[in-house]
Amino acid sequence: MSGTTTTSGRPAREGEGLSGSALRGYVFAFSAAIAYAASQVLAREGVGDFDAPLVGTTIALAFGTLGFIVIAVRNASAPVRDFRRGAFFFGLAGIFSATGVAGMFLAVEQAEVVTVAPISSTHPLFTLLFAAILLRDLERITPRIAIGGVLVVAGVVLISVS
Amino acid sequence: MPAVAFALGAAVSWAFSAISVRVALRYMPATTGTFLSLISGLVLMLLVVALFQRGRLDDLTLAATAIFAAVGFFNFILGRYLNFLSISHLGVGRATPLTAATPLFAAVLAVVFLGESLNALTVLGTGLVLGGIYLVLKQP
Repeated sequence: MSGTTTTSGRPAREGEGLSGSALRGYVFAFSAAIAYAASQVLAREGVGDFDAPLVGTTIALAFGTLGFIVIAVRNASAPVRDFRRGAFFFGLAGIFSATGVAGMFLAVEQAEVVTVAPISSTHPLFTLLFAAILLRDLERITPRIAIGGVLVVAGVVLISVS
Repeated sequence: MPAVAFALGAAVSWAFSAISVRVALRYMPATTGTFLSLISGLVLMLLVVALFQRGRLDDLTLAATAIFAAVGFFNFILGRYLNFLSISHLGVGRATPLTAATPLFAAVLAVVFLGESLNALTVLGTGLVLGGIYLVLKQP
């Protein structure tokens, strides 16, 4: 997979080159990383004021859900191929994501962040592993992507313990 | 050690979340999907808080609420939506290592806005993250 997709979400094959869609994907990915980073820096301030991060995350999620209604309504006419399956898997994604957050906070309650953060930072490696096993018809995890993922995780672990 | 198990469980949960998103994008666009994932996550978190941490709501201040509202904007409106869009354009294999670089950007923001300082580990980690990103971005 070289980074491009069709409108149906099919990842393009290696060698198809950098398309406008891939370029937008990179911009979206880095913008997401910056937005997550801003939220982490802000959350440190919030936790200083209110020492119950699980409750804080729920409040943030409630505000996020309410705020997203505007975007969802504006895009309500976007074509949906299969609502039931889409809703099932996106619903599952939300539950897994929330379970991850809860697990992280439970871990931090029992050990220091310096112990917990490097372990939880390995999630991209699990994603690549599961994608290689479960998404063989949708994705091709090349050695280059796998090595890149390992380097990113190693760097993130070092940053999180520094 | 329970803490290690919980942290490992968190990592696996987030990985399954990304895989679920990749599958879901075959059936539904990122906008509708982001909204549905926010709702399902919120329902679960409300249940957890109601069962285990309801009393902590009494300590909530207006200032903290405002900060968590801003966190909600950056994390769940911008971050999650852009993350799902990146997966729809790149696939989960290429998008995930890029969004995983979040701590690098957090370190930069903390230096700029909170006056925190960099140390050797941060610099080394930054180098590794940038090397990894280069490999992911590099065209064959």
